[in-house]
Amino acid sequence: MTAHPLRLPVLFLFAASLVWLVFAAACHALAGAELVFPQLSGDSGALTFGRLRPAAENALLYGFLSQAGMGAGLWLLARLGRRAEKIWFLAATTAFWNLAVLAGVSSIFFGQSTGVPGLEFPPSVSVLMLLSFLGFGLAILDEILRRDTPLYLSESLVAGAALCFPWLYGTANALLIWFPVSGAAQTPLVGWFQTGLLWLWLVPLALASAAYILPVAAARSFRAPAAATAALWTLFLFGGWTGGSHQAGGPVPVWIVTAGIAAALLLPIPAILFADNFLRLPTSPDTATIRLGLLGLALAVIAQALGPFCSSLLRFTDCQLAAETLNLGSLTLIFLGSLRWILPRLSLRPSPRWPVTLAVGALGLTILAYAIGGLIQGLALAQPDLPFMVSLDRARPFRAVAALGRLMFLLAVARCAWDFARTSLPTAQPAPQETRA
Amino acid sequence: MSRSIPFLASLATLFAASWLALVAAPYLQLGRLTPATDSASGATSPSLLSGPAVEGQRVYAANGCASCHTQQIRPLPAADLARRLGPRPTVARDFLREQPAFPGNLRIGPDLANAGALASDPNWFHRHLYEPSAATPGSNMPAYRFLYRLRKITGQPSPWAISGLIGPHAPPPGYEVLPTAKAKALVAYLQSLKRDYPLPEAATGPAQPITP
Repeated sequence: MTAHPLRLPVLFLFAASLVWLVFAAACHALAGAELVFPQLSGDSGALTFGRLRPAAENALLYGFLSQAGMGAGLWLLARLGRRAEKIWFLAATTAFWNLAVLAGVSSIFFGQSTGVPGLEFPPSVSVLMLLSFLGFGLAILDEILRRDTPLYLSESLVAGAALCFPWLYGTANALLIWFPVSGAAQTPLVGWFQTGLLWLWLVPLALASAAYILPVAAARSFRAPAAATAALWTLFLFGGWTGGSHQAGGPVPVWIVTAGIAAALLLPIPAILFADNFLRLPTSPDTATIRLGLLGLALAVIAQALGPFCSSLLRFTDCQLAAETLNLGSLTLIFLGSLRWILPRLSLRPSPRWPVTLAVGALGLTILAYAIGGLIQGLALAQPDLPFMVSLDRARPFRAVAALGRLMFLLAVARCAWDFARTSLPTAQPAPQETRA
Repeated sequence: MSRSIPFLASLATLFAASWLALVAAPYLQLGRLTPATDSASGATSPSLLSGPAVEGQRVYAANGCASCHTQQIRPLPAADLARRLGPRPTVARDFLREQPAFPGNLRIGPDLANAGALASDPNWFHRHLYEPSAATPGSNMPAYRFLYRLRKITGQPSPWAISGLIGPHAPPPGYEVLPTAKAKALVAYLQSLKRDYPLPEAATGPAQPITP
């Protein structure tokens, strides 16, 4: 067994992504605690909730999820295409991606945020983000355009995500940040971007990893390949239309909300088609984390479909935080599981021992606490005679539990990163059994 | 020809459909909205922001105020109107002067669509930003003391000094707390938030007092 040609660039992407994950988890833990003890920010502007939360979200979205997804995508494309040596140098250019995320997150801390959710990075940084994406995008394009055989499902998902991201991110930045349109037209655009980033970029990348790893780990192919292909197309068809589903009653045209709700109600179709294939594969302990993440994603699809029907009660409450944690936490689990599976095959070291149970328990606790607290908060806000402060008082104990969950998650991912540094980096000491081998 | 090209073209067509519907169409429908003109008085609504309020909008964005505060009042069946957050639901035209628009998605703090109606005195806003829990008991807002500076009084107190500060961070005798330019701008922006003007697409109910 020899070292994989993509070893160094993909290891770099994974190492950097784990650093961002720990950073995002630390910011989330502090922000979660500040919801209960606002005085924790002291006299520092950088540590206020309003800056910590977008810094954490952006670090998670672009630093961990996008980067881990790109690393896993490059790796599986190289494995399936067997042309790794042709694309590794393109992958290396994504190092600039990290510089962009670093500059963007620093800008948020230093009070230079644009204030647009998911697009808080200043204009110059978002240009750098798009330019650094070229390394990944060109690598994917180069690989699939040369292919004279049909693409595998996982390759198609990566290619679709790579096509959608620059379109999504470029359009949203152009119309909201670089040359902003009238404020009246911005709300539907933000909704389109946020849901597109989730369903057309991050979810396809996560599903690509799962669609490659689960069959390989089980040594079986998909039992219903036609359904898997239909799942791919319906995901890209409905995923782009869900933007208005959470904007009921908001300052957007009613037809956008209606289209969004219809798309959210149809999104279970690709979920069922994917699940039909995934569930028929024999289970393996190596892929338990990925399967848990997929289960979370299925719950996220259900939440997305049901959300509009509880909108008047639960919108603007902590249930929003529960939904965000469910969406991004499920993706985090899928990517952590993918990294854990890929790393030994890249670094030729044993699989890292990651505290998956702690991470899953932490996410579950956080989601449950925010969901129950949000429901109680929503019920209080629905009573016009109750002062607003009552809704805060009733949600506070649940926010405290959620903050504990955030802290537990930080401990879990910090342990993952430490174990990665100890066992998988090129400078790490070889394990005794490898010396014997 | 690569077998991947039809795949990519089909995918691009799917994506373009959502792009046309959810980006291009709303832009055509809402991007050309103009302020509404009152036929009797000739006044336009919403009115333009003052210079300090425009700067305050940047301070609002930079400090992530929209992470905790919404600026949208929903129609029934939501309880926003019954809670008297404002006289009518928020519509797209209300955000004409906003750059960017801050509809928000969490109410960790109260809705600010009509924050300007909370108080006419800028000092109230400064007190609240400097030490929220002292100004509004039970508030879970962090203090924005970094937008203020403590200064020793020499001669006459500054007319900008914040009055009525209480709590552990009240200035000691002989000192005063002054707002920085950013704090003044932020307060100017918050005071400008009054969406009680009539618009043809949003029926305005009888005037009601606004409560935080």
